[in-house]
Amino acid sequence: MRKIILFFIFFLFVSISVQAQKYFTRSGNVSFHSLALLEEIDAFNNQGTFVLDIGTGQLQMAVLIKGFQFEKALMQEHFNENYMESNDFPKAFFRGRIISPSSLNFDVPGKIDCVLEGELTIRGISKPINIPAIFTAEEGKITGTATFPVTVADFDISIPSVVKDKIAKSVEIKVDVTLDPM
Amino acid sequence: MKEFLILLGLAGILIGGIIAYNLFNKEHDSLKAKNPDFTLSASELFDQFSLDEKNANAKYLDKIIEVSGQVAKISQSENGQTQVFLKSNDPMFGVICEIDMQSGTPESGWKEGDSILLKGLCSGFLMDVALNRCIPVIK
Repeated sequence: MRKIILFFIFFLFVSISVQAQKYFTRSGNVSFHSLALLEEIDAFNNQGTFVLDIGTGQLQMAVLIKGFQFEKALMQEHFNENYMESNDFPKAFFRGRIISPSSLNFDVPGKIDCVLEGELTIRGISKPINIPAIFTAEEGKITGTATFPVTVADFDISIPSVVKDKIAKSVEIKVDVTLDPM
Repeated sequence: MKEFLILLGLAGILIGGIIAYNLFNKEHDSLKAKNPDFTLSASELFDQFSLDEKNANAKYLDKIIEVSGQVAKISQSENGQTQVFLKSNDPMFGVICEIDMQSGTPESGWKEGDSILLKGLCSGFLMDVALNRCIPVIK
């Protein structure tokens, strides 16, 4: 009888400790910045979804292209219709995992410098990418931030020569998320 | 007479240039004066997207949607942007509405559990149906 109780307690303990394995947000911040000769373009999206499994280190982030807000209405229109064709490709996402450090410990509060390895999919085109990121474990939540460049041409986004001095060849993407346990 | 015509022509070009410049640099119009393309509840909107995302995208993307629903949560991001989450039939997800920053803080009277009415532009579906540039609708 004691063995059964002991086993039951052990099982309960194990199942509780694996409960908060996934952390996520539905209002993550993704912004991009393009600095070209004639123009500086900034856009931000505050409705990014981000899921992180702290047990396996796997993570996924997704944004809706139409959710990117530009200051100028015409720029937002061109971005969606001409460059991103967001009616056909409404989402962009990253799927990958933390490859460094090899063992993760989010139980201890503090910063963890990471490298993420995965695939970035924009306009239906997937490209492998490595992204340096910083996760900070805090009481009851995890914050994450990453800044990385994306070469526009890699995703078949062609910039007409007329505006080539207004849009940079490489765009800087910044991600800021605060993740709560799922 | 000729000089007058030349002057008129130049004035026309100048005015045209100013209009074009303003158009190019124009910020977004508020949705305040615009009529919604669709009116439905947050639950209905969520169901449409979770049942058939492709058709819902074709129907609702870039359209102004007037949505009624109960506030599940209100959150603020670091840059002051407010997100209002509306409940649906789904236990976890619903409709996420980003409040139009340009129209001040019209949602400041809202709190969890309130039944509200707002309109916004639909940008698609991830875990929730996403609306942007939302403003409250007062009837």
